[in-house]
Amino acid sequence: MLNLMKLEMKRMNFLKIGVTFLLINAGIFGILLLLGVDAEITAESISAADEIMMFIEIMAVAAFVIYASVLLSNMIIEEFKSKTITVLFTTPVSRKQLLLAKVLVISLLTFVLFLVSVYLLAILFSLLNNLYGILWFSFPLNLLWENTVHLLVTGVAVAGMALIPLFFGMMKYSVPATITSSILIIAILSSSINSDGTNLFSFTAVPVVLGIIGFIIAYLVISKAVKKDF
Amino acid sequence: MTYAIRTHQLTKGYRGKDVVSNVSMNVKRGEIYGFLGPNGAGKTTIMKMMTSLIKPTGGDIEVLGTRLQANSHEVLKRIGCIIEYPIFYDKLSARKNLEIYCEYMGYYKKDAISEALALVNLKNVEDIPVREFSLGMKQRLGIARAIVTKPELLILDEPVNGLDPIGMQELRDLFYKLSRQYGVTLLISSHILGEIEHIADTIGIIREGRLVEETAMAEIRGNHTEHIELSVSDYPKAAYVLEHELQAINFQVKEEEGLINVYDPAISQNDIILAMVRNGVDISKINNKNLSLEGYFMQRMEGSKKHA
Repeated sequence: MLNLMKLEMKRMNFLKIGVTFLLINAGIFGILLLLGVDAEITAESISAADEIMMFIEIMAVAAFVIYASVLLSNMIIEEFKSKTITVLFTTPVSRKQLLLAKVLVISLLTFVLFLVSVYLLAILFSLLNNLYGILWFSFPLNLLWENTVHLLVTGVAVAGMALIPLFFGMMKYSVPATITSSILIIAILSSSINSDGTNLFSFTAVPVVLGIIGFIIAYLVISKAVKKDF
Repeated sequence: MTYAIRTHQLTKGYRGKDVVSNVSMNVKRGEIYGFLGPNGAGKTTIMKMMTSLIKPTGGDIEVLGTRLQANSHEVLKRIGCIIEYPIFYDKLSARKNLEIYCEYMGYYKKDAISEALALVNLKNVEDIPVREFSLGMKQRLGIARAIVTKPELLILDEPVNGLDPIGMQELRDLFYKLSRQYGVTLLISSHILGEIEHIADTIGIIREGRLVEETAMAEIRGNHTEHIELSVSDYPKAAYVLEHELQAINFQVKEEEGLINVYDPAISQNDIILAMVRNGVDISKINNKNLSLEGYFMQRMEGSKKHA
């Protein structure tokens, strides 16, 4: 199993993933800096340090759930669509383990990228805010350490949630369906449900439930593919 | 006699309709088995069942001594195959494709990839992405992938499809060499007899999902290729003459068709005419018949159609 995961990782282009990761973070950081441009507008939705924290989290979730759908497309959907998976199925590897390895690698990577991203952005923004006073209130780093458990739980939830697009993508082996569904999930999750900017994501239970659904979907998709004729 | 593949009453149905029914075939170790049948007869389906890509709805398969079950993937380590048409990661180079395959096969011999590419005559293109390959090149690369891990059994579905005549000959020579020098068992499917008749040891004919014949090539060649056909006035007497005067062992009297077929190579047309004249049997027609294998198989395939 571990060998299969290593094999999958060997086939991934980590340089490309690294560059994408940096670009995503640069983008989110750019948005964070924009918060300081007009204090009045910012104050309408963000007025305290913990709201900044939530803002960073939701941006990272959005970015990496969508990015995971790209990885799902490349590593799973495309393999089924172009039938290259059948070549792997004629090798002495159990179908279940092969697919599980792919899913786990994507899930694990999403977990790591999400957490690194949140910590990186929070630390950077906190430092810059302290130095240059981007916002009118302070954004202390101890918020990050206090939230460690919450962040870890969210990370696992995100790793599961990222697999939900598999359900839509595997119906017709469609890359557009995979990516579109990931965007839809994010849209629903991050939309405000009342005037003060609260969204579904801010209730920890919602991402956790979605995460569980994601893992269940992955399990079902794998067991279906194991039984299927190719 | 040990077998590389044996199927017993193998059946595959889709939505209540059998596409393969009760196929019991026997592929001996070390031989080249030509798997012959028209398009859509079920060749690919059977080969897919042998490589665990699809599961039978009835009967069972034994490959290299292992009875195939839902989780028997270990035996795939000893098999190389092309099923339907060769599939590759189009964006990756030929070499990279084989590298990935070897990794999953758990085969790590360093020179194997270069050797396999050389065997199928794909030189100097190993670093070109596969999407730039012609169909013939892809077919060669598919064979290279099938043989790169030095399997004991090769299952090749229409392997010479899309190749020019010279390419076909090259690959036939390669298959022959693999079989005779390295003892590899080959199961090669085709819808054209000419592609495999020269190298196959056994021919299995499949039609509408049923195996209608499984015969050793040597037997077919000995029995059915050349014969003398004659029509006479008195069939019982002619048979007597053939048997006692000419000592013919291998002949067939089909009185209702008005024909006698003499398969004995030692007896010439001349011998027959002289003997018949001596015994007062009139010959109305005598011909040297050269029934080609093609003709023989066409006959078998059509014949079986009538019974079915």
